[in-house]
Amino acid sequence: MTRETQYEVEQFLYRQAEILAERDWQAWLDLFTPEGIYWMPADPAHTSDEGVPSIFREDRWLMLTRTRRLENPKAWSQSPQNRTSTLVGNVAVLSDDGLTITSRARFHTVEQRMYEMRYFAGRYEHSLVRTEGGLRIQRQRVDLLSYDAPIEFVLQFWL
Amino acid sequence: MRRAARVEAYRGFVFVSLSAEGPSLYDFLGGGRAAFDDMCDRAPDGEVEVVATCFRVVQRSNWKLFLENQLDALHPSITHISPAKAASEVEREYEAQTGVAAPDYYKYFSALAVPLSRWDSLEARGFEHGHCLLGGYLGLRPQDRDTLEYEAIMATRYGAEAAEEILSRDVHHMLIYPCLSVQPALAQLRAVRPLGPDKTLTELWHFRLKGAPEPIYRRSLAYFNLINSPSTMVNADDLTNFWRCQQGLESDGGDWVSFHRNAGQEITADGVTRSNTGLSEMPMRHMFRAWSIYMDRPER
Repeated sequence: MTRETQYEVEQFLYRQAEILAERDWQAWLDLFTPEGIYWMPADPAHTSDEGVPSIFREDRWLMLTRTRRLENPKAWSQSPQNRTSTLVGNVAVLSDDGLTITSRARFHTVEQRMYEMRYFAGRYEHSLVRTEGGLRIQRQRVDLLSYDAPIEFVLQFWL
Repeated sequence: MRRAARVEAYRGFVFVSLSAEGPSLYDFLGGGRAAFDDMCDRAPDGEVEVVATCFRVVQRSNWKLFLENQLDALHPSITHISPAKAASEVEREYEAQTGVAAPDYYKYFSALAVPLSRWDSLEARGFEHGHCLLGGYLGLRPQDRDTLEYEAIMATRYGAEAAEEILSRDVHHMLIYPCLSVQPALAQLRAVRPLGPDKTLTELWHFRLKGAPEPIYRRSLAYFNLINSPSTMVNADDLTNFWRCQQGLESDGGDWVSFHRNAGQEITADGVTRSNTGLSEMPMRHMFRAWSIYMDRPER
């Protein structure tokens, strides 16, 4: 693993966090390959998203559906809009075969919903592919620290 | 923890009662038994198996708001217009871009925006002890290969006529008052746990139909993931609206809430009350009648 790869992955993850904070949904969708998957398991023991319950398991089409919903003024729970601020750290590049990079990182997210703040944290696992347009997400696994805790007002979008 | 005075089961669903007295589980469920009969009968082996993952969602509102919402057919096309519209658009774009129809689960969203006339055509039914149901609207009998294979298995196990009777049942939600909401055709169950006058926990479960092919389970799973998970695009708006209703009820705005829609137009015969339209508030009135009995108030 080169320092350049480490730097490249860090920059990518920081950009993803900024895109979420900005609610720049088109840029969010563009982070993924056409087959890209965002997965937040319901259980950290799950090794595949196939055939098991998940908190999020979305391909680009479902992510597109979600972004369209978020931007509809009749999304009643989005008035005012939820806002998040995410910090990414502990970035580790696990493998790089020249085409695909796998990485792990930790995230802390603060969410503002109406006049209340709440906190989410957990681990990212990214499978990134090199494309002409730069790195793209083939698969992102998000293990939420509070995966088994009751949740209020649900998650409106990704962490 | 208090020791349960009685424990009984129906079709594998275990219930406890803290009271040594009262009707048996069978009698308490009464017409509500259809919730479990309908779900279990859809399994070729006649039983369901719970999937171990439970999603827990907390609502900042009284538990009654949740139950009333479950059988209210007037709200979906308004409350849930944002995911319904988004999914209808994406369904069309998906087909235009890929040349194949979008996966069936987009219907779970887009069907929420069917015209009010469709909701109007449904029937709500009320049973003894406050249990009630709303008829189905999703049209869950597509004629694809997976469904046909499953229906053939059902016909083999039950006989063609009995299988047809089971598969043609169309219940959207059955409420076991005051603690459960069951969607038998989709094998989903929500348990309602009041945490306080303005706080309610719902525990969301789904089931596998024993003996049914995997694609049939995948439909229940998709519904669980898309509608009942903590990332739901549908209940997101319910939860906020419940909280807003709760705020309104706690204010000095008024002492009464109207549940008059189609009042006096339901017909009761043989212990079953039937609404004349799916948009009727008969289920709300029905639940409050049961509640007033539990609260030792004369029925009115």
